[in-house]
Amino acid sequence: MHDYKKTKKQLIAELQALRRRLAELEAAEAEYKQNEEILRENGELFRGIFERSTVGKALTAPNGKLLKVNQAFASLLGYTVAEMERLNFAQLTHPEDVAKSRECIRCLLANERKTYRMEKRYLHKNGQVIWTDVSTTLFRNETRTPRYFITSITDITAQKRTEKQLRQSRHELTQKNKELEQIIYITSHDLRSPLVNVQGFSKELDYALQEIRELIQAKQIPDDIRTQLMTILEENVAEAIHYILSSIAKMDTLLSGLLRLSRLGRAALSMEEIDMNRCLSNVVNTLEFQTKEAGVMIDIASLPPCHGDVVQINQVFSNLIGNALKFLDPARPGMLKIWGKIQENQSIYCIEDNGIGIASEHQEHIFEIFHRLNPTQNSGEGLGLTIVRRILERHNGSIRVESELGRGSKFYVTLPDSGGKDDDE
Amino acid sequence: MSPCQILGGKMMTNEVLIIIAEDDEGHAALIKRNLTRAGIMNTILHFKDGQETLDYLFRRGRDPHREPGKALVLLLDIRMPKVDGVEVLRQIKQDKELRKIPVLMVTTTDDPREIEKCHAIGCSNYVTKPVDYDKFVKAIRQLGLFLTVVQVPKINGTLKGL
Repeated sequence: MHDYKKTKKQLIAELQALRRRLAELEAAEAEYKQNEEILRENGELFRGIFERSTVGKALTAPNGKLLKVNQAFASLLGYTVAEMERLNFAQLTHPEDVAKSRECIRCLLANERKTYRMEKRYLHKNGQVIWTDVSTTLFRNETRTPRYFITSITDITAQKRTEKQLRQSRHELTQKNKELEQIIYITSHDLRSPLVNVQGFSKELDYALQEIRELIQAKQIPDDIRTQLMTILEENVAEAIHYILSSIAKMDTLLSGLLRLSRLGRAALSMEEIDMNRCLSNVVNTLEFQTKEAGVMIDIASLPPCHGDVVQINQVFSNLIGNALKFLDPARPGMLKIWGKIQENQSIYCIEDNGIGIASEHQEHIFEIFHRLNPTQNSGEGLGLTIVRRILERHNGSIRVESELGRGSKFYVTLPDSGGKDDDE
Repeated sequence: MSPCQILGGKMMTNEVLIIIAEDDEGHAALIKRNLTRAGIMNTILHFKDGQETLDYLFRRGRDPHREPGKALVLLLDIRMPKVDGVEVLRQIKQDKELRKIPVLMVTTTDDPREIEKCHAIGCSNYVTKPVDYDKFVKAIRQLGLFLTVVQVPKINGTLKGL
């Protein structure tokens, strides 16, 4: 119905209103189109991220049906995307890991967790086991109804293989070490048995020799024969016995050292927090005689505690300080500095001396068994540092040396700090 | 040394038989020599492994067998073929009669854990054979001294009812 009573003025106003409305609608349409473009672009972007990701991705329905998977996941298990999207997750999962996966689903549906991460095995189309690291989260709509699971799947098969090899190597190494210690123990022990005889009967010969000497002196024997006999006895026989006995003594020292070392490897460790200030003051007290004799100044800073077997750690520092005292430079007054610090969960101790020092070419050998730098000048069986290293190895610790010939040496001992838990073999 | 009765036990006299279980002939010879030097004049019977020793004591297998009523002391090596010394000790200590025999471990093994084990099973003494012969001689001399004071009961029969 037209209202002919409207004035021209009114009509113009209405027209203007309609034009404004049109402009608004046009603007709204443009905005809508722009939004649609953004949405389309976003859709492409997210699809691109999903499809082209090098990490496996899957959308799974709450019933386990795979709704959408990406190329990376399909390739990982040897399927095409289309083939895979017809399957249920359980058909792809290693039978032993299905229960674990169902627990993940239950947990997310029950809203016990926002995300669920686990290591699980899939089966490749060819039957091969594929180890993966899987993270899953549940997407719900506005009414909190579960829609689908979003899962990221990372291939860790190579990592698992390496882990397994590492475990195996470690196991083998432990076995070999045990065998080696057993061999050292048995051989050094069994070698000692014949040595008892060689030494015993050589001594018996020595006794017999003495009796013969006395008989020769007492009996009526022509002088020239007596001289001959005495020459044989004193030069040949006595010399032979002397060398036999000194060789036995040496061999016995070596065997005792081997035995000591092998026992060290087999002894059970009793791990506890060690007050190193107390430990070092015990060690220094025990070495008081040598310290006084050598006229050495020992300066011990406040030391951080560590985690270890107190008897064995005492042995470590006793050997190191003993060495420092033994290898002082007579040309200058002896100085020993001991200090420590905590660094990256490890207690590091340094024993610094101003002794004769070790030439760089010898430094790597000083920890070797029976290695002695100055066999003629200094006593010892060449085991002190080998024992130190063995003890530290068993404590998951280490030792290294910095030294300059003619200036002195610094031995750095690293041990787990007192917070460290022991995972000894 | 004159025989004297103490609480059914017997001081070591010449009647007491010394048994050496030792696979090494040389060691046995050195032990015998030094026991003799320490004044021990008893008869010494030598077996070369744990099996022979057990057969003698438990009176089974081939001769010789232990005479019932005889007082014995056993010097036992640890590392021996067939049956080792620790097992011999274990079997002796499980037997109601034989457990009365003083058993002295005489061995090259100075491993503290072996020593502990033998004491736990019930050896009367533990002597190590050092390679150093002067120490060896000393150890056997002390063993000889121990033997002169140890109380040795007769085994099987004669002490019944005491």
